[in-house]
Amino acid sequence: MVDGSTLREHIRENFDVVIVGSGAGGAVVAKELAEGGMRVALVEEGPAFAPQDHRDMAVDAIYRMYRDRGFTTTFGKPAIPIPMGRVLGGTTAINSGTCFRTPSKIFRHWNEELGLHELNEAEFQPIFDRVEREINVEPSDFAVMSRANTIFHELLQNRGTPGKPLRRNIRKCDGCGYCCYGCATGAKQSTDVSYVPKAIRAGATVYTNCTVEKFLIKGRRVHGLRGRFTDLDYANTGYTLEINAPVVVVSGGTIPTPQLLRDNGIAVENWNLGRHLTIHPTTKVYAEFDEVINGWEGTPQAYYLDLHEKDGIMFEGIFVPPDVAAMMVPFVGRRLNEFMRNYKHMAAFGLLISDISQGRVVKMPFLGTTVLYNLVPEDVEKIRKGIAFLARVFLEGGAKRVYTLLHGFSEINNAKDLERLENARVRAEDIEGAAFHPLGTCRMAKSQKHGVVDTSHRVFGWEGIYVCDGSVIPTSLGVNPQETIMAFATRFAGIVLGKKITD
Amino acid sequence: MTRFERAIYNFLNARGREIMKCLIATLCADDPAIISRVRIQRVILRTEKAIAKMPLFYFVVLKIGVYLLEYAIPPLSWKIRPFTSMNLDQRLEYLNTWSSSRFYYKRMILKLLISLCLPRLYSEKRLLLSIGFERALQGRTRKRWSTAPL
Repeated sequence: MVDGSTLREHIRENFDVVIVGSGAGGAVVAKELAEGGMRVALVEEGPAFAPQDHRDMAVDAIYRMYRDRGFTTTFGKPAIPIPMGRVLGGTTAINSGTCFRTPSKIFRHWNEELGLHELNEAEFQPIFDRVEREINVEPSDFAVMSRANTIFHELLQNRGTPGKPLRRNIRKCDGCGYCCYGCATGAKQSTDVSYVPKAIRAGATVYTNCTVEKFLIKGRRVHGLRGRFTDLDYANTGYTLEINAPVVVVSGGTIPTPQLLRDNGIAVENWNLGRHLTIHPTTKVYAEFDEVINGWEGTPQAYYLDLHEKDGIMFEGIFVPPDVAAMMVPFVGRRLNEFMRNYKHMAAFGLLISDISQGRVVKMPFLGTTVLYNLVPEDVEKIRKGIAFLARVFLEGGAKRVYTLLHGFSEINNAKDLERLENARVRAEDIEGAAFHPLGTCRMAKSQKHGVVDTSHRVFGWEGIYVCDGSVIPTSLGVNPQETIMAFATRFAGIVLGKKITD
Repeated sequence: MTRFERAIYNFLNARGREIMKCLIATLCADDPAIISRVRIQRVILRTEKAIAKMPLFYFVVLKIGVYLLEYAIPPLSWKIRPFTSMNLDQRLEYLNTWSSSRFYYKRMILKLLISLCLPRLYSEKRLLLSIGFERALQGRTRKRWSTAPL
């Protein structure tokens, strides 16, 4: 591994494959191709951290590890933060570790309506098996679950509609509750502790702190890239990296990837580039109980209830430490103090929707790479419905009061408030939340008319350049996408090696 | 203070820092139980550091936001006196009009300011301990590492 922040020389190398980004797409491709005998270079924009480096408070970890210091946000109504990792492991290093296989319904949609017969569910099953073995996917253990999750489990059981423990990529998780801020025990099998070390052992070279800006292009063939090394504050060190490789794989993530292509004049004629963005908007509900919950103790996202088939809504556990919670509280002054003083009595649960709204990634003067996204009324209604459901479960389960991030409904105290919420007409800008799963900006399609890459991940009309990250996923999944992206990456590695990679 | 830190500190001038200090105090309603547990200058410095490293757009919006909060007059904001000259109840009422405003962008500016100040305020260890967050002292994990896995 080459740490670009301390490097004091220019580097010029030749490889068989160069991969940009070390998240769920890039790291998997790097490991599979390196084990397949290819000379692989993996270039990561962020720094590498070992588990013992993660000692700081959540808010400082966000500042240290998140893209734009955690301020990547959509422009539109509402403005929605999209946390993304800028660190070895990409967003897998800062996610909750939740793993879902791609739902059958989604495979059917891809096969039957989009004509993507290559994305066959039966053929993907052994790939999922392999991915799950690599990252050790297992159901969450109730023993290390946050009380915020188990209390919701008990309430659902009482209603006769129990959910299930989430499956997560963990090994010996002690439930420290800091999954999203860098796992300090190394329990979470993000790609920086699972795939990247294996890629290195198989001979891959990893360059960290290197921002890729230029592709080396001859005609309509890409044959390498050029990047600049940066220090830990992302300032240029003055040294550069140049890699020549016949295969260039872009796995920079759904937001940066289309912009990187566009900046290099690749696929700029393709109308689909940067469009079709879906993000799975999320929000959450707090409920105050008499008992001390200490929701920050234990795994914060370990339990779920799936109403995706019926309503397009997935409910998943969520709980954040007080320093992060403070910025989301819908009050100021004495009520804020009261909320924070009672934070140990709070349970919380989140929801994400399978969005039909679609956004775009564009480059704007002064703003740089910008995400434009507006929630359509159908999605707003789903979110309102989800919030109302959570509020009802908590209130009927004995919560003293419920707090939502919906403007005008910050506090729900009784059935009357709940009824008002259930009958309310909500505007998009009244919703406050976040989104964790941007997908689709270079989506896979049968033809250039409908997407940016073909079913072998090659950019339409170009040679030598492939995209393999969340941006190629053709539609919103309705579930956490990291396992789907890893499966796509494994399949893609098989295409490059000319053989099927299965378990 | 290093030259770098001084440069960051200059994000806001003395007046700007006064407004930020006043905003933080107002956000926690001047509660002595909170104020006595935090080093307010440190909170402001950390907030400024965070702002200085923001993408340019947010940097500008936040800088404008700070002064807008202080000096906005009708019709942008229904007050005549600067924010820092008001008494606590007036300031609280004023912030409440921002946070409950139907005008979305007004709410967003306040939210942006809050999302920078409050996390820094609530990462002060003594304050965290006072709300029962003992993890602030324990650290993230008790596990001891001998070698890095990478």
